[in-house]
Amino acid sequence: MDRILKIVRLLHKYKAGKLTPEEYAELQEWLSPEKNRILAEKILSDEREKEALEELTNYDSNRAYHQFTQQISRPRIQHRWWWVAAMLLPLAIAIALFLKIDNNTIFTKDPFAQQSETPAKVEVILTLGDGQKVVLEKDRPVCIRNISGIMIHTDSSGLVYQGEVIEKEQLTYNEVYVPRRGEYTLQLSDGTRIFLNADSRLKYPETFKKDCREVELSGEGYFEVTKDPKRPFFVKVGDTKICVLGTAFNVNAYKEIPEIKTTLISGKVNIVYQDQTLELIPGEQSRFNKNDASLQKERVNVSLYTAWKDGLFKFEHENLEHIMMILERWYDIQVFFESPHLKEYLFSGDLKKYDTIEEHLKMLEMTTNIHFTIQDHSVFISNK
Amino acid sequence: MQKDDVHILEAVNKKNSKLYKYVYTTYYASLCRYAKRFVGDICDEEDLVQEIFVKLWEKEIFFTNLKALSTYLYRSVYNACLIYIRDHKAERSSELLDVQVYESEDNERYLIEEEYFRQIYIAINNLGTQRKTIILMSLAGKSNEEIATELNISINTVKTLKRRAYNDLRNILPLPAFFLLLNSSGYLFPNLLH
Repeated sequence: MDRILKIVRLLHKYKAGKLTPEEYAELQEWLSPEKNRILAEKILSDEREKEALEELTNYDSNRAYHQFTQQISRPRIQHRWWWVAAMLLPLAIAIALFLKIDNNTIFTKDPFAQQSETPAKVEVILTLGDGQKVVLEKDRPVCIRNISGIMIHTDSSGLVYQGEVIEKEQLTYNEVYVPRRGEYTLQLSDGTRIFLNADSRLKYPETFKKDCREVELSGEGYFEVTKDPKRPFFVKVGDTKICVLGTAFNVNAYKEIPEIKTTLISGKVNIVYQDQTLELIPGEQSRFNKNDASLQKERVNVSLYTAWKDGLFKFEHENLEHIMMILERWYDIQVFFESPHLKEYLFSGDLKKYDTIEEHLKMLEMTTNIHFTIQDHSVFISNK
Repeated sequence: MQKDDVHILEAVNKKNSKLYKYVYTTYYASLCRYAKRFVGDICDEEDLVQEIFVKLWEKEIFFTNLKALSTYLYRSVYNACLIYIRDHKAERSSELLDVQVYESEDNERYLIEEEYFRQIYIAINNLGTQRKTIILMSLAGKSNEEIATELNISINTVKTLKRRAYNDLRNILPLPAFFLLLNSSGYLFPNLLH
C-alpha cells in the first residue's frame, strides 16, 4: 500500500505540475514499463477522470449506510463483554485506587520522551577476543588495531572491521550486545552488514576462515551478506543454522518467542536443522518451532518483518500481546494485561519507532476501547 | 491526523455505529468501483461490498491508521470477489484465479487507479453541500446555464459558487491530492468547466 499511495501522490502532483525534480525522476522510473505508462495516460486524461468521478457519484453510500444500520440493529451477542467487565471491575478499581494514591496521572508527564528520541544513547557493548569490553557510543569514536592487523573502528553508521583474510588455526571471536532500547549496525571484515535490533547479541570472528564464514545470533538482526561463493556464510541461531550465498534476510530469534523466523528479501538461503534442510526463495519465511522442532515455510509480506530497520513497527492482524512485546524491548518497559483476552486484540497498522511510547498509546487509546496506564516503566492495559 | 480520519478509526475500532457513516462515505463508492472490475458482469458489486462493511463491523480488529484500514478493505474486497467467482463457476473463473494474485502488478495498477480517483472524490465530498452539488453537476457535463436552471439560481450565482468551491478546496484541504484540482491559474477542472 505504501508504494501505491506514493505513486498516487506523485500522479496527483504531476497533474498539478507540482513535482520536484527528484519526484519527477521517481515517477519517470515507475513509468518505464509500458503497462504503467498506459495506466498513467488513462487516469490522467480528462475523460477518464470525468467518467470515474461520475461512476463514484452514482454509488449511493448513504443508502448503503442506512441499510447497514438496519442490519446491525438486530440484537447482537454482547453479554460476553458485560460478563468480562463485571469480573474486571474490582481489579480496575484496585488499580485506579493504586494510581490515585500514587498521585500519578496518565499522560501528564513524559518519562520516556527523552530516551525514546535518542535510542542509540544506550550502551552497546563490544567484547573483544581477550575478554576486554568496549562501550560503543554514537558520539565517541573507537579505534582499535590489534596484533593480528585487524582494524576495528566506529564511524557514523556503526562498527566497522577491516582486514585481510589470514589463515589462522584459532579464530578470535568478538561479540556485540545491544540492550533494550538500542539498535546498532556493524560491518564485518568481509563487508557483510548487519543491523541489530534491541536486546540482541551477535558473535563473530574478527576475520573469517578461507573456506567459510560463520556468526551466531540471538535476538533479531537484518543481514546483508557479501557474496562470496568460495566462502558460504552461516548464521547459527539456537539449534538451527542458516546457510547463505550472498543475500539479504531478516532473522527474528528472541528467546521468549517459541519460533525462529527467517525472512528472505533477496538471494537464496537454506535453513538447516539436524538433517532437515529448507530452501527459501525471496518473499518466503521459514518458521522453526523450538518446542516441537518443526520447520515450515510460507510466503509473507516481507516489509512487515524488515520495517524495524527503517524506523517503523509494522503490523498486520497482529495481536496486542505480540505488539507489546516489541514495544517492551524498544522502550524498555514492562507490560501488564489486566485480563488475558486483551492480549488477543488484533491490530493492523504502523507505528513510528522514534515516536515516544506515549504518542503510540495515546493514539491507540483515542481510537479503541483499551486503556493504557503508564506508571514509571510499567504499562497497565485494561478495558475502558 | 485529520478529524475525519480519527472518526473513521474510532468507528471501526470502537464500533461506533454513528461514526461508521464516515467509513461509508470514505470508502464505499471506491470499493464498489474496484469490485465491479472483477464481478461487475456476474453480480451486484454493491451487495458484495456491503457484506465487507458488515463483516468489518462484526470483527474484533483495530487499525492504527487509515492506510492499514485501506489495505484491509481493498484486500477484503479482492478476496471476496475471487471467492464469489470461484463459487459461482463463472466463465472467467479459471482465467482470473490463475492469473490474479493480490500482490500482482496488474492489481497494483487497479489499486493505483482506485486510490487516485478516491482521493479526488473525497476532496469534492468534503466541500459544502451547495458547492459540492455544483461541482458534481458540472462533472456530469452540465453547463453553467443548465445548472442555474436546475437549481433555480442565476448564472452569476453559479459562477460565484463555483469560484468559492475552488477557494474552499484550495484553502481547507491540505492534502497533495487537491493540487490537481487547481491548475496554475487556480481554476478547478478547467476541462470540465468550459
